Amino acid sequence: MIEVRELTKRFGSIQAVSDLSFTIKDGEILGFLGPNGAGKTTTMRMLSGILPPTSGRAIVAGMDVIKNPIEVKRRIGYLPEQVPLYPELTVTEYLDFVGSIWKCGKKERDEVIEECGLSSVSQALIYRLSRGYRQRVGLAQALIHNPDVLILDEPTVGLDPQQIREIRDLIKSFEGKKTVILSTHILPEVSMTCQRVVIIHQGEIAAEGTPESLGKRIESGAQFEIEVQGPQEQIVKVLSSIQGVSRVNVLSQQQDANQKFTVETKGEDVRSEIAKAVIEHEWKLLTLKTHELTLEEVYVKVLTKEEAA
Amino acid sequence: MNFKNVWIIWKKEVKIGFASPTAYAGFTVFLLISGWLFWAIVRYAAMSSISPLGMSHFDVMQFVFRPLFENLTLILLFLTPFLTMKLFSEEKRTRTIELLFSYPIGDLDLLLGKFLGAVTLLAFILLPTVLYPIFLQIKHLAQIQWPVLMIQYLGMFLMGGAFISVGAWISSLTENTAASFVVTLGVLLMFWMLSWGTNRFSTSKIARVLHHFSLLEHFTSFSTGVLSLSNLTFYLLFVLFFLYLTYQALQSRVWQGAKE
Repeated sequence: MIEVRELTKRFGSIQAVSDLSFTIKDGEILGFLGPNGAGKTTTMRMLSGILPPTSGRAIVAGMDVIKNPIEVKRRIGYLPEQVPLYPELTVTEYLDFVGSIWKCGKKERDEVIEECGLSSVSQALIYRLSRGYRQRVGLAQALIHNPDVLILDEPTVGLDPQQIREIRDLIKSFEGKKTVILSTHILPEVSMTCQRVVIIHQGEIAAEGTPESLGKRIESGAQFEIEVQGPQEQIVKVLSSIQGVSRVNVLSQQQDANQKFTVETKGEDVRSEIAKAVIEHEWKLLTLKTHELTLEEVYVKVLTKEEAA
Repeated sequence: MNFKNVWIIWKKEVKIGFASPTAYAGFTVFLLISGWLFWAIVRYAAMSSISPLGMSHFDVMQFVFRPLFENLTLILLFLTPFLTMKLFSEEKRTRTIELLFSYPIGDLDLLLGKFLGAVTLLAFILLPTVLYPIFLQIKHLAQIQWPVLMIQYLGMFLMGGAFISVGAWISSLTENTAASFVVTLGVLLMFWMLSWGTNRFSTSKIARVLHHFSLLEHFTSFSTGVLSLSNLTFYLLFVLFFLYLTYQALQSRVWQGAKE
């Protein structure tokens, strides 16, 4: 559905985006992750045909964004970062304006008002709306012409937790129906709503994959979490002596309570050895599981790797 | 160009213009000042009139409406920057222009819709001045030559259009509405004053050329009620030139950094 090939954007001497290539399948929700200034917004603006790339191509629904701007724009719903709206208009007036551009009638307008939960404020001036409602109006203008592709630039920024959840649920409901590209620097958002993640840093792709696979790929070794009832020092000694264990970290501070550790290896699965050792010493084993990296850890690892390189 | 899109943008501009205080503020200020001017001019003309038959035998077109329109264009010069300062600056500042660019609307549609929207607001502001000749006619105070009045109005509209085109261009260059206002006012005043200190018989070639670019100079024929094709062409070319500059400013996002 969306194909990005070696997309590059320079502003004078500043390289905002360099050689970006990725594809998004039909009906997929892609998370576009990166710190502020990574080039997320620039990429999205190029995809939506607002900004022409310095080189490279963006293809949406088989058409080049630059060569067929009008046709491509018809298939895209775009929500920019700061949700630009006209404060002087009411929600209905504003959506009528956007609708008339797309040749939509009152029916589509009322549907999108309903879908985005705007019925109660449809006659209110946008000026008087709260941040959450403005965000919904922004989404409504992106959805009114029922586009196949949604480009959402930080759609949940500045919202309260309840509003974030509602917007996320709405986005998640598009899964399989619309192709969504969603930028954010909030990590849980990606693991909750997106099927695939592209991490972008300093204008380049730093990592790409499903939230889970990214975790696995970055992992340089294996980590296990253990919770044991027993004497701390002895436990550390025993765990360290297990073949393959490279490091044991003590997580709990108190003596004699439940002791929590993480055990790192170079990749070997030592769970059964740990269990055996703990039981041999007649301690009580409460928890034993592999530790999966959260997206947050992946993100930090990817970025620090980049900087070290 | 797509006329439907021009219409959509025009409608939005007018709607927002009337939803914000700008149009009403302009309307009120202009009504106040033009009313005062009209009263003062009529009074002065009546007092200095040597005709024993009174004002009805006196050329109101030359002695009332000509100075009235010439003064009103100056008032318009100060008012137009208020109408145009937000035209593009505000949309750039609030980033709404980004959404407009993401819609299937060409830059030309956007430009024309906005220009015509501003012209409509201008027409609204000028509207109450129609009452003055009607008042004189109804009260049988003077014989109004309606064709002459039409030409005077046409001149005023052309002048207003010229002002707006300059304002549109400057507004498209900055996100700052205050800067847009000040620069527009300055540029318009310069165009106004170009005829000062220059005249068409100047020995210096530059002075003669500059003289031709004075907006004031080309208005005189209209205010005297003469429809002059060359002056009409001047205004139309002036508007087209500045609309072209505006178009280029809008397009600049396309060529800026597009190819290096």
